[in-house]
Amino acid sequence: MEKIKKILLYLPLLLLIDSCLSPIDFKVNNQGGIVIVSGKISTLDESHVLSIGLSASSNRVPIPITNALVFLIDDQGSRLRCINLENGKYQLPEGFKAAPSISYLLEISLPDGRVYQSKPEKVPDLVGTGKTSFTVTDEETTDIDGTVRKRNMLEIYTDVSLPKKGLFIHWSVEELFVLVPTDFPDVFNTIPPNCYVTNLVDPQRITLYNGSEVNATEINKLYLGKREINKAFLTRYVLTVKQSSISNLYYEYLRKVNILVNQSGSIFDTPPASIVGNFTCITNPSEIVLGYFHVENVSFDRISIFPFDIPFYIAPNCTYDPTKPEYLYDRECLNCSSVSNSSTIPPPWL
Amino acid sequence: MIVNTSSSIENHIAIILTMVFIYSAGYGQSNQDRPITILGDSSLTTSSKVIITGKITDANSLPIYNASISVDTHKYFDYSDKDGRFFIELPAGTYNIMVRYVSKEPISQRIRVFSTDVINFMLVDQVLNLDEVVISSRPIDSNVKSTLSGVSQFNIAEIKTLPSFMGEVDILKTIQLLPGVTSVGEGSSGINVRGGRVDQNLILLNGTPIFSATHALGFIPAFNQDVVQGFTLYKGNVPAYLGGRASSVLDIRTRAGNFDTWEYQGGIGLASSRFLAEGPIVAGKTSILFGGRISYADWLLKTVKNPDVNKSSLFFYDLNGTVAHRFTENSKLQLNYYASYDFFRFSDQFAFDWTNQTLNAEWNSLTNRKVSPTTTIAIGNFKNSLIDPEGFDASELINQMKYTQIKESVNYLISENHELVGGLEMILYDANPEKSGPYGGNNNIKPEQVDKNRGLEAALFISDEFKLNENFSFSLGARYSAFRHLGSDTVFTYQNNQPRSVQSIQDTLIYKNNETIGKFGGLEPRVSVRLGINAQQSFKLSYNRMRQYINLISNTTAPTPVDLWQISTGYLPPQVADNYSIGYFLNQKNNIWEMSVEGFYKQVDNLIEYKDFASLYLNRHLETELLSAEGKAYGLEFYMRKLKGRWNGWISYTYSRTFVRTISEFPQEQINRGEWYPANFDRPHNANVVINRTMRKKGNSWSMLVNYSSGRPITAIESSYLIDGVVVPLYSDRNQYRIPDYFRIDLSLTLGDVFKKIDDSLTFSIYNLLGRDNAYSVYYTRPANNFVIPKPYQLAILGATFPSIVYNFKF
Repeated sequence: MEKIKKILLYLPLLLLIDSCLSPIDFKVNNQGGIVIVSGKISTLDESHVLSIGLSASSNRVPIPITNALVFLIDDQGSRLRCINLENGKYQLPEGFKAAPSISYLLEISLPDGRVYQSKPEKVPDLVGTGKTSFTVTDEETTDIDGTVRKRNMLEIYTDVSLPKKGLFIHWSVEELFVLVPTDFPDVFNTIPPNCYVTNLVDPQRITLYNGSEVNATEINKLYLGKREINKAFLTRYVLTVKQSSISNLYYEYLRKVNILVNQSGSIFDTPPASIVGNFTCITNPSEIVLGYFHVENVSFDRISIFPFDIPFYIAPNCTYDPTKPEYLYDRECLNCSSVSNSSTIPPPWL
Repeated sequence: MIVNTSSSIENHIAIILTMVFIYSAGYGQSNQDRPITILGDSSLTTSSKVIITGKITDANSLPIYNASISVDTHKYFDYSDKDGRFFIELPAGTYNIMVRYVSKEPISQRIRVFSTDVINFMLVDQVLNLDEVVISSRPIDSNVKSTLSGVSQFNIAEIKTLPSFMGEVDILKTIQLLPGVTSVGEGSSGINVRGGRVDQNLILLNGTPIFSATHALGFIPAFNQDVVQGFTLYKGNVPAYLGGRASSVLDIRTRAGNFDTWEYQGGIGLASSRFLAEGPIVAGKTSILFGGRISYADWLLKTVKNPDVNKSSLFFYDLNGTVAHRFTENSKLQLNYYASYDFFRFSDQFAFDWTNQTLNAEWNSLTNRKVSPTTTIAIGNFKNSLIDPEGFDASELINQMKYTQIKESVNYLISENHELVGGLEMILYDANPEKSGPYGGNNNIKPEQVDKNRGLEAALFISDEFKLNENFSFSLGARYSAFRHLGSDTVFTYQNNQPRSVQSIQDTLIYKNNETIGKFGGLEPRVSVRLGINAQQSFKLSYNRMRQYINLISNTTAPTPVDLWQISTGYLPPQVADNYSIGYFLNQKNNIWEMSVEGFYKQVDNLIEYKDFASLYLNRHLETELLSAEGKAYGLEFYMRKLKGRWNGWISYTYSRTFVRTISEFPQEQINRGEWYPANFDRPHNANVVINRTMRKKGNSWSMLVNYSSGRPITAIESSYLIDGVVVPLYSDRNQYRIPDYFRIDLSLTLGDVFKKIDDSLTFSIYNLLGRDNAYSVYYTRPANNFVIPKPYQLAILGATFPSIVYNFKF
């Protein structure tokens, strides 16, 4: 009945008869300094990166913790050390992937001597499959300032097939699109490399399935999220829908995250609170640690969307125009690195 | 009108003549001009005291409670009790007797008393005198003279002209203008009285509990203004014959039908309309009243820009039916039926509905001049369902609470200054299993059912009100309440020395039908003392203990329509509240001005709190999601009111604080590390100004309300972090911050005699005259240029001027 509960989150919207939003200066007295760990390993052959940081005071992102010793420990007795990347990121060795039915935990030792450990998580045996589809729709949205806008949206769905009842499933949608930079004439006739951008689609939408409540093992057209159709669709746009079989405990954690990200501050909200994850401080058990390390069995489905799939024309913005000075071009036409989560190296599967 | 029940035919004739005379000549004549009503047998002369007693009723023969009966300007004095009876002991002689009650024509009469006799008075509706508008429904000096403190009584006529949202006369909103009464915000569906939670208020409709008192998420009251006769709020001292909640009692009484003629009235508003018909079935013996109200608010939703809102639907209705029968002059049976229904659909995403039904029978009788029993038998039903109509998991969740009530109360008038009330009350709560299942054609959802509990609450009560002299009176009461948690039920036991959780379940006990699972109970002393300084000043002290055996399980700041009612069990022991208050009361200028300063302190044990992200629906071990807590509240209330004159109204200010603390040795069962923290509705400063102005033309008036209060506490986002691509906010300790303060001015104008030959009026209301963007909440959203940290925004629900118009008629 979690869906029943979730829909209470819409109650405040009923009250928007004559409502208005205005920014306020709301001072908080946050001290920060809480250790936050986030990471996952999956059955996919992909890079597995974990992050460790300290919560910051207001208006700042977490402060990375560098020089920690991070080990992945499984129930077979193996102990794998993570490679220390920059900015509080730690990566498992290339080629590692989690194996179904094996339990894993993470152990972290900070330079100041504090040691943290996650509760063991067992990789689920089964995950099932999904088939991705999409529709193009118009959407009217009301901005914070009250302006009504009409936008073209891509809505993403999946047809789910589960091997058995009782699983806990989480879906996430990744996108990859290709930006073609402006090819300015030069003496060497150099063609600038394409820019590959990877993002999560509609990341604040958490789609979950609780097999202890729902009978169905076949779900048609399950809605996963949407994104605006814009210049990301000028060339090839790739959607990867990941269907992850997760533990009951991580499902519960995500359920709480879902409550928090949907908080509207209304009188119908469930009282919010910090979510305690699956880490404990071995050296000081009373210390609060945030974040979660989880394992998942993942299947994925990938589709490409080309301009001819979109029922209207999108004008390119990076085409070279001899009459247009360079400073008038959009930044992504000039410099791939100006776009978040971009790379000039294409993913291996493309 | 005066009706003497003496067997003497001569006296009857005299009284009829008196009645005609008073009506034709008014009551303001000199004593010499007035005829004298003879009481008693003139052949029996006595030098000792005699007793005059009788009953005060309205035109429908309903008893009037708290009418004042004054003989020779307070030389001998009494108030009518809830059966309308009064009792005055005085020497034989000639007197002037005055009977008064709000919105009724006062009666002044000369009487010559020879021996003990009975005289009854019938008060008819007052045609307002422009120079003498009385806005109080109580005896005019009860602020100082009444033994009980913290009691507010209103006749519905008194609040009809106050500004209101959508023009709907709102009992709960009016109560919030009194000191010590607040709510968490606009649109909340309950009130908080002296630091009490919403479920700690017992709302009685004709003596029977009601579980939902609002329509439309709290914006519109659930009671039809035409049907309601009046209401009384007991916030300080609750008499022993009332109980079952830890904070206050709101006693709403509806009207009986007219026994003599058929009458019709109603109103047409922007969001709803109402109609009422009443009249005799058997003239003078049996009356019937039928009232109904229905909404048509969808057109309002369609004006909203938000596409989800304008595809939504809102509908409600309520029905009242009353049949009253007089067996004899002193015996009356009244059957009351009340039903309300609400339906909401939010776009195509979800819908919910809820219904409230009660049927009660009240039998009042006066067995002799001193003893009057009242018997109440009632059944009630509160049901809500929440529907998710779309998707593979389309489903419906249904909850239902049924209850049966029996109450016998006997008033015994020992003397003019001494009255006993005693009796017993029983109420059986029988919650239907909580059910969820597939909705529509969908069969993906597993049908699920969680049994809910049954319980029997019983109470014996006795109350003694005694006036020793003009300067000292007290009310002593005792209520012994007991509660049994009854089977059938499944009860889990948990390991000791561990936090209560599903993992710590030790055993499962199965109980048979009607088997006693747990017993609770205890004495509830009720004490109130009045110390008069003089006729204009008094001090009052009171102490109440109250026990509550049913709780609203609601893990939101304000209750929602789909919250659960849960009786006390071994894991949810009854709430026990100790309420203390002390006050100074002052009347000035012939009781035109009344003032009071009251301080209160409340301590509540066995409060329910909730674990973070508690899952309350379809939970077989609900106790694993609940926490044990205690609460305390204290405050100081200032109140100044002008009762008479073209300009009248009141000013109130309350400073109060309310705190909660969880009690557990385990960190998992603590909130804010087990420290005291402000309750959701803790609003330290609350000030109200109510101004009424009656104009020269009959029926015309305007009113203004000014409301200021501190912002309510919230839990704010202090920082954020990323988990698997999702921005997770990091929240502060619970309720460590506050939303901005609240300020609102409302205005209303009532014009009478809109159409000739009809008793009608037109009321214009402007809600939020200044169009102020009062913060309903602080809303967090992420700006596009900052991928992690959400920014705070202030959400105003009614952030504009909100006009409304209602046409009321009566014929």
